[in-house]
Amino acid sequence: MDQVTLSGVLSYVGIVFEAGLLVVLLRRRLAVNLWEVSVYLLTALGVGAARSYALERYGFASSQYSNCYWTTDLLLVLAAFVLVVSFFRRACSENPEMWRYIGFLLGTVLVAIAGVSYFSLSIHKGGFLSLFIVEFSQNLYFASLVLTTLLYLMTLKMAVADERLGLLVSGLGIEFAGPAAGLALTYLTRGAEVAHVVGVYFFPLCDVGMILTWFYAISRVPSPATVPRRKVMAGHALAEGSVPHV
Amino acid sequence: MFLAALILTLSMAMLFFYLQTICLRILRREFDRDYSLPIVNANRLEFPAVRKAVEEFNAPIDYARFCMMLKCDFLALSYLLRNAANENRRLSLQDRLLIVYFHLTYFALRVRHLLRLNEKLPILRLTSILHFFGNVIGLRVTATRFRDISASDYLLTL
Repeated sequence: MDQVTLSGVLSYVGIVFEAGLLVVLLRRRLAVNLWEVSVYLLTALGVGAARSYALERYGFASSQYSNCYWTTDLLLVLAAFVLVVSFFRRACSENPEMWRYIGFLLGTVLVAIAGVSYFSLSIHKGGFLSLFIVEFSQNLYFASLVLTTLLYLMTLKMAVADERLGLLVSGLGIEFAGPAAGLALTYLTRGAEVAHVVGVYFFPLCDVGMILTWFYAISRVPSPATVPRRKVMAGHALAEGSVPHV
Repeated sequence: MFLAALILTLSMAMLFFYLQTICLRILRREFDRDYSLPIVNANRLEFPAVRKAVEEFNAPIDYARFCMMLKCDFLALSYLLRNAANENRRLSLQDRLLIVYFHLTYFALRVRHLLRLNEKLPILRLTSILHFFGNVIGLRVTATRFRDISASDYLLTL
């Protein structure tokens, strides 16, 4: 199986999982409660459809497919940023003062990333827009990864009881960490073969990893309102203690 | 260039951090009672003794012996995971992930032993994984009804 076919298979697996998770959300009547996850999944499905269409019509090596890929990638990372923001809001549900401060901070981060990406590429003349999109995506991926980590640490510090939120955030961390590393590698190797291979295998695998984590979080972890009183810990107190507390 | 290298390094570190976090969160799954006890007794598993020795008695770690005990328990439990009261004879995705996590933690234990670092944390994590497997098997066995059928009847249904 060549790289292009395998990439297609992995992407289709991701799309099937995303559609499946959306169905699970709808059937369990969680689509409204977890609206941010539903919106992200719908965006991801739309992006998948657009990429498949471009692939079928123009081919893998065409510039049209490349443009479509990077433009939809930007759309996806923006949707993911919105997801991070809404998770922050969920984590701050009992502390509106903190949410006001964090909301302002997140808006500033988005503007700052756009500014830094523009500034760092202002010396380039040709293909500015495409380079800007790649640079902006990479920076936003990394910023979202840092924000996700901050969010994770915040849920630990504030002892947020929502175990499902913790797993959703962890899944999102995988989705951000993998592509951020892949994009940085692409930038460092100037699009060499290794970076191409990473793009083919790694990005879809991270996507599948996130969706599977979300599947677990939604299907196996009860919502905070229905959590029964704790009796026995499966992994003993150790597992609890070994989750890094900062 | 420096920024890209930094992003690459940190992103990879965070990727592993999140994978470990997911495994630890799965291990924190709550059971309404300790289902692992009958499995431990029936199969003479030794991981509770290892945990007790490390956790409560603060005894010096007998590395070779503990490794052998944990590895044997892992082999027994992973076999039971696949075959005990499991009609499909297939591991779930959760079990596969935790098996990989067991191997990685075991590797970390060996590295720590070579570097003469503290070995308690990986040993306790390994016992946690085994305890979780015990609970999963115990829960599955409890949920399966064996009373109405004989052993041969059960085998014929497989």
